Amino acid sequence: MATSGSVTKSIFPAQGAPASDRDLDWAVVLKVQAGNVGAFDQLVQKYREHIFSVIYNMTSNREDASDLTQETFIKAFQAIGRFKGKSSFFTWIYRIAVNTTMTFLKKRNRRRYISYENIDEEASSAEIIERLTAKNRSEKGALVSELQEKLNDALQKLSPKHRTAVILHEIEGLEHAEIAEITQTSLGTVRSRLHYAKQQLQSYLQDYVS
Amino acid sequence: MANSTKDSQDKVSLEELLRFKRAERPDEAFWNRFDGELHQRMMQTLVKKDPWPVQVMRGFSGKLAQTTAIGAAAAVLAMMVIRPAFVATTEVSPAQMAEVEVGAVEASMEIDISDLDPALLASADYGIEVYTADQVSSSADVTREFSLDRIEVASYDSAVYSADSALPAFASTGVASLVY
Repeated sequence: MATSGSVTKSIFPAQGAPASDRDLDWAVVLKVQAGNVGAFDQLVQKYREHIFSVIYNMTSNREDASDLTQETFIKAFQAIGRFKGKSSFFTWIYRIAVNTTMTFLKKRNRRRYISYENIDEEASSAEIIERLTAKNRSEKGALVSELQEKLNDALQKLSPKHRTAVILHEIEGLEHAEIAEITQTSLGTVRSRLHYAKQQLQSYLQDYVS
Repeated sequence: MANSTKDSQDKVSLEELLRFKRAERPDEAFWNRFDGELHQRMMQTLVKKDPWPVQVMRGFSGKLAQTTAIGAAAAVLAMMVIRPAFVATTEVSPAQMAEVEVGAVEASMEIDISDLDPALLASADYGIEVYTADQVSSSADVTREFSLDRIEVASYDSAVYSADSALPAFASTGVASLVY
């Protein structure tokens, strides 16, 4: 991972890492390019949850996120013939997802419709919940709902660019270089956006964060 | 001391808090519906044609541009080759040409005023007099304000003509073009 303070681990192969996963994706891409349309479903199954997560956290709306995730895959499907494999497929499809969502957010402008996704109780960090429950002396269920609302609210207060950086790094666990490639910015810009975004979030979530 | 240890244990970092967002996941029913909708939309994109301006733009940026260029070149070439077929001309022998010249001289005009329509003459407030070139030059009553330049549309001279060879299918036709 890119930062010493972070314990997140990228689920995708980094640029310098063994490219087996990247090669697997490329092999599937070649199949689709050769006319095997059904092979595209493998890529959908592999990336749909990650793409949905990024878009959902950027929009804070599960219906919009569902539509935009589908739109992302359709755009990728339509453009896959032009995909030359210069970047990895995951970088490419993340870029499509981020750009599609950015365009959507510009159109949506100031109107905000919030509809939250369900919390997977098992997947949530039980340890964090325990600590927060003890700290705030509140009931667990109520705390989880409150926390979900506050986190989404805090993310929505960030600009889309800062939000993208923090979502890709802190939630999706991507490295700085990967984020730079996806957002087509420099490493310095990514680090700067992350630093500023985390300062803002720290301020918005001071009741929960030490 | 015990309290401070407990406080530090209760503390949650921003990074830990943000990771809590990973727990927001759709259930299996959502993904089933998602897959169905996505497949339907993908099928639509497979059968849906783009609007014609998009097709034209894509065509010109791709192979259609090459095809159009080749097609245009072929059309120009075809026009150059096929053109003689549309211009029917007859090769004229020197003897035939001489006959034409003789006929033209014989038909050179000497208009008799009696040939003209009397009714027309009666109603007209002007008269028509016809002078030949010789009469103009010999008469003192008539002046000529222009010189009679040499007007020669085409004089027969086989050296100044060239004839394109016609295709076998159009053996009786050919194109004669004047070469000066």
